[in-house]
Amino acid sequence: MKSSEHTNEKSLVEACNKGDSKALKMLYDTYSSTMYAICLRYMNNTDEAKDALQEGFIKVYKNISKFKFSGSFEGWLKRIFVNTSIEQIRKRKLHYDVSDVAADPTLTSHIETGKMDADKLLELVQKLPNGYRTVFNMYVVDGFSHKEIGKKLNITESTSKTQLFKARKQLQVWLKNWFI
Amino acid sequence: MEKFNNIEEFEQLLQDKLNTHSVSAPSDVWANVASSVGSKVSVFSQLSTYLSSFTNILKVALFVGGIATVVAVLVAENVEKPEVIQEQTEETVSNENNNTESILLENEEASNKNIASETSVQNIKTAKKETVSAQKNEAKPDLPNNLKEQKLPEIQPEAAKQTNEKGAKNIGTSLLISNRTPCLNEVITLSNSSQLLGSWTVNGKSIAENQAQIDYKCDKIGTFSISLKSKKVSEQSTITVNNFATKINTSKGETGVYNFSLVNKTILANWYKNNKLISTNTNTIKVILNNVGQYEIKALPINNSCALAAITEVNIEQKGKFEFYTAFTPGIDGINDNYKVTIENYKSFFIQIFSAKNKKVFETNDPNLGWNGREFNNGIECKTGEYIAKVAYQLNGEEAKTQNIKLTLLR
Repeated sequence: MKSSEHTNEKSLVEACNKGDSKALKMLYDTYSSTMYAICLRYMNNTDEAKDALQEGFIKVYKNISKFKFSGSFEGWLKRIFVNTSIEQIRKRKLHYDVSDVAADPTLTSHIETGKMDADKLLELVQKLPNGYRTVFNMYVVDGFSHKEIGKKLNITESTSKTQLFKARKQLQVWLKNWFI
Repeated sequence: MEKFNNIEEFEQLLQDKLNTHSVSAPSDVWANVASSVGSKVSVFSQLSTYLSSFTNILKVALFVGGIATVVAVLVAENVEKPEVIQEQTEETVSNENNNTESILLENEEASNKNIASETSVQNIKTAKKETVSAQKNEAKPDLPNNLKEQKLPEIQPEAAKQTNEKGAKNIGTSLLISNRTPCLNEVITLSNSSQLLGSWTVNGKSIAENQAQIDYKCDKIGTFSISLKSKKVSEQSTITVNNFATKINTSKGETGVYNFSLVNKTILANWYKNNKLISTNTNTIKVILNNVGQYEIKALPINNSCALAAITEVNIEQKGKFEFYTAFTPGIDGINDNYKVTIENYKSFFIQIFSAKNKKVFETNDPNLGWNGREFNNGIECKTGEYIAKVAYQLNGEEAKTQNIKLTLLR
């Protein structure tokens, strides 16, 4: 079977499930940039994001037989990459008492003006201190509840709320020119 | 420029944009993923499909049998040239694991090149074993029927190599060193593949006699030659003992923000403030230190076992205070009889007071002593009028300053 034959998601997933190496590469080519953006959003730097991306794809290939087409395939992939990123953050023993670790007080000037595009937004999220960033990402972008965040990160719900509050406050300080 | 009414509006935009955002993945990730999963799946899954047909099983069995016979002959022929076989085996292993090697090296990015290159051989061997066992576990039963003859040649080097490894063990002895690049004071294990008893020397100095395996404490930095001698063998190898200190650079930013970073940029560390973990896995941290006190900032390197912990101290002193008033009334009512400035938490202080005619009437370095309105060297009462106080002082945590105060003496 040639990879060009995988005209739809289903046939691509099925071919991957059968171990077709061309299909695996095609799956990677199709989704790696979206998944890399997720990893970049969660991780501290590009090296860590690369690790998470790599780890995530290995998991995808190992578990692709478990995908039963009951929901969106891209959604399934995203969950794997979000979870992989969170796992890696936990492995790095991130602690959430970051009250005395300062956020970078300076923003590159291009954020202060112009159009608010995805690259700018990503840069802002990446600038948040570790603890704030993880909770902010999970709650605001990926739609986890505080209860779920607490469970996944092994912190209390109120810590999750505090981190989110601090993240929002920090963003508002940075973006003071952007609010009416 | 668009504006947001509230944070929720901003977050909505952020969610919309970031959920669909994509960034080109670095080019080397696929190679690593493929080496971990892709190749494994492609070779073994296809093989298992091939084996799903009984005829094919027979073909493979006959083929492997043939190979085994050939290898047995080869081993017998090579008994007299053990070194060559061993070298070939190592080469095959490293060629097949180029990708694994690059992952391992990346993990060890911060260690120096000597360490990386020497350990990589050991790592490759370990990695190879893991891959082989993983491959066995991973073979899947339901796979495409697209492989034909191409599969069989791929099995050949694998089978031949394993036999070669076994063959080499029986015909040569090599030194086994648990870590060829140990840190200072690390205990390493020295042994040999044939478990032969012999005398061990380090740089020609005997450290053990008649032993097959010994523990050796690396108590000096440098490269050392390790050798094992017995009646049957004389083997030699080297180890490099490392250790290095890294320093913390401190820089102070605005409003109590301190930046701490390790001078050696490749070292990542866990950071502690007064022994409390404040940040992990980073070369640089920012910490806000506003409260008065002594702070110990410690970095424990985590990506280089030979790097020592680095410590620096920051002393935040009580903020100084300097205040003054501009008039006083000596000897009238018992109030404001002496002229004093208020200074607290200071490093230095000196005040001089001059008359309008620029005659010095008072000076002291003790802020508790006030001027009583008389010339300090003869006690003559000074007249009502304007005087100039020149104060030179330095408050804690600030630059030295001078302040000229125009003050009025009233009688």
